[in-house]
Amino acid sequence: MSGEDKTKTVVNDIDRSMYDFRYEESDKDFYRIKQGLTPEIVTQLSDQKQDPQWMREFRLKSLEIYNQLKEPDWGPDISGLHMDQIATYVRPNTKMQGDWKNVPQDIKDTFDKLGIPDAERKSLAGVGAQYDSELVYHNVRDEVAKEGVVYTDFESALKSPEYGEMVHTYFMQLVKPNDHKFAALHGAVWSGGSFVYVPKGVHLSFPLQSYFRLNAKGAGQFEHTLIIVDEGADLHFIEGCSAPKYNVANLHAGCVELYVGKNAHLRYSTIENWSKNMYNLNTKRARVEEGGTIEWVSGSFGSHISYLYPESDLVGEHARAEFTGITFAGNGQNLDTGAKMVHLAPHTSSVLTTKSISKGGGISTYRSAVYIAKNAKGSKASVSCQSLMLDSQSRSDTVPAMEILTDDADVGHEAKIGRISNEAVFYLMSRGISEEEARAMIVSGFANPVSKELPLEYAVEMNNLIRLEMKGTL
Amino acid sequence: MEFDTTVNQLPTLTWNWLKINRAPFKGSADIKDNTKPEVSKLPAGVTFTEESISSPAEIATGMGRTMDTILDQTHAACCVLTAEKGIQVQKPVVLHFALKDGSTSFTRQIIRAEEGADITVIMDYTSPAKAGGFHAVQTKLYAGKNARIHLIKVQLLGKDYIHLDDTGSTCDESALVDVTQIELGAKESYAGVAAALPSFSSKFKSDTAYLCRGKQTLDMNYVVVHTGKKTDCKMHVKGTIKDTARKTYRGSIDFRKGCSGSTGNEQEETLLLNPDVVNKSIPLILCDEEDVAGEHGASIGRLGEDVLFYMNTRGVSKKAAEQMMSRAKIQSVANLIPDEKIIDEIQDYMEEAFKHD
Repeated sequence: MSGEDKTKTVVNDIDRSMYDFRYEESDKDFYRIKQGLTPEIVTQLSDQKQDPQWMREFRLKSLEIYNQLKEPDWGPDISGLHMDQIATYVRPNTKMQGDWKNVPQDIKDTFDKLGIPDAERKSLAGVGAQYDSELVYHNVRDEVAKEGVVYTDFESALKSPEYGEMVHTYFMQLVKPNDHKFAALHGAVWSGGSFVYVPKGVHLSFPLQSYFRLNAKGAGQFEHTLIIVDEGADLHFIEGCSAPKYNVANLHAGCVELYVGKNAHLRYSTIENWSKNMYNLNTKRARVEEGGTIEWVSGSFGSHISYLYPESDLVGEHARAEFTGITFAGNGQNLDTGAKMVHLAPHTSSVLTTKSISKGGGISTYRSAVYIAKNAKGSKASVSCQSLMLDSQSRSDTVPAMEILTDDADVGHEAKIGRISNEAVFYLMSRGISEEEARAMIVSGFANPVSKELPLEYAVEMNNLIRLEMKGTL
Repeated sequence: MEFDTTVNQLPTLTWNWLKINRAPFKGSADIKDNTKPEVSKLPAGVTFTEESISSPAEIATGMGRTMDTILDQTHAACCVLTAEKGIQVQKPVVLHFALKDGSTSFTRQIIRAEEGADITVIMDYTSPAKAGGFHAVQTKLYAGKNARIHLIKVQLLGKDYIHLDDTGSTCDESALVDVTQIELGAKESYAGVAAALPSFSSKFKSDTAYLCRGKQTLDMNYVVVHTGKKTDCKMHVKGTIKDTARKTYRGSIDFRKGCSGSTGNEQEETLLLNPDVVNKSIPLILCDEEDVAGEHGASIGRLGEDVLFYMNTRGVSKKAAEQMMSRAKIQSVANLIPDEKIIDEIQDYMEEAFKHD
């Protein structure tokens, strides 16, 4: 087939209309801290949140670290992000509610439109909804609470006599403020997020879900998620996030710390759909004990710039990690995503499978690290990444690193970059399938390994996000 | 001369904690002699001259500009080997570097194959087994239209040598640059290869084999930049790491805008034989063009249980099986060398390396 004859699949940009809406708000509905990042602002934030003393000190120490650390010299350009133009704390003038009826109407309308209450009724064991910097709604089913499962907003856990000590013990121990500049920023200005504790042996048959909505213009969201799944327990946690689009930069620098106990299992699913003015500099990390399993399922569709690499620290023998991710980078997006697998104990295993699609000038970078420590004898790691380029204005890079410090390990890696194969289209057409349908099948098949891992309603959402329209020849 | 610099930088950086973005290079070397290569008898149509020129800056090399600077500062001699238009050289031209113990030398070569020419050049570096010294070499290749250059570099230096081997190439339309590299010796060895494919249907191929043992450090950086249409590259690297040796491999396929119809393939096989080895690998594909196909694969680990079982059933011990597989990796690349004497030298070197196992 000559170059002139080549046909090409036209994939539309993600339809963001269901996320880009916003209701008009007046300043009286919100408390907004002044823009910038100074010790005074951080202290003011602590005052607003009535932090315990240790947290006040932690925030100020993190700010010091933030000021000492440099921005990364790798990855997408973040020079358009100016912290002096970001309000790090915006609180809706409402207390957190346990009853949906009591949530203010405009906020309720926003979450209604995103389908959150409906999802709770149908298929969730508990829901948390964060609006800007604070949770406005949190609820967990009675039968789940009776089993001893704790699912609450982070501030309540921090100040609770029952869990305050646990929070103090675990908070930012997995992701330390000196990990990188934006972990330090998180340590200084975190607000909101969820705390989950699943006791020994408890299996939740329905997932828990937190939904994060950043509605304020020129603001940051810095929620902290801490999940502890105790020995032999099982949890599926879903995280969703979105924001309307503004013409100024917004920032998301959340932090997720997951502790997976001995023989426990945690699946952490995320559909990230921030608006295209968002700098998404998020840090996620799991620590997995003996025989435990962490499964990450990740869909990255939104943001202007993303740095997102969930890390699995396999610290116990026979611990296991799986990461399945898809990234769709469209016009104006530079999404740098991937994962880190850190094998620190014998007989640990990891599987990393990613897909990325670039179109309309979007840039997608797959970045990963597989680290096998000297004592991680008998460990296995497998990495597979595939990238689909849909036009020549776009860019797709793969940057996979492997560091192996023992001979007793087995590491396999494969990667492919390319466009939709004309041969595959020809084959399907020779079986009576139309060209448009053939191309649609190929792209759906490409995304399928990820979408089949998502809960049904999220798989549907993902398919809506990647709305494919086949439009004939080039 | 003091060095405190870096070489072999990745074209795109990643996390600094991995310490893989570039190789630090520190040390000192006083020029005691600039060992000139012994050149085999030149076939008709091939010329060899020594010139006091800098190598062409427009040809990028794998180790980076640092090497140009070092070689300029040390006034390294430059040899120019040219295969005239249409010349098909059957017998390889051999540049043999017989380095002494304590030798310090800096050399560079330009190899040109004019339109339609076909030449194979072997550069082999040897020294006494226990020798130490410093050897930096840079080779730049230019392959004219429909030309082919097969460059073979064989490093069999003594156990205390520091060796820097830098290569860069560029091709005209339908030309092929083929680099075969065998790294067996030296205490510290840095190898960089960069290939530019700016012209229609130009090609690059590399086959690399190594044995990294004792306290050796081997640091490699291969970069192929596709800018021409329908260009192709194939990079294969294979080898064994044993004892407390450290090996780093960076391999990058860079598809630039406009290189439609291009293909690239990169494969790595690494056999790990001791619990104290360190292996770092980073195979990159950078893609700024839609109509391309790029692939890479890596397999890193010890000898598979099934292979070992098969060997055991045939009465081959684990140690013997490991040696056999290590040799096989080197041998499969050595077989690409059209010179029996050098193949024998490689085999002798491996025999010696495994003798004390």
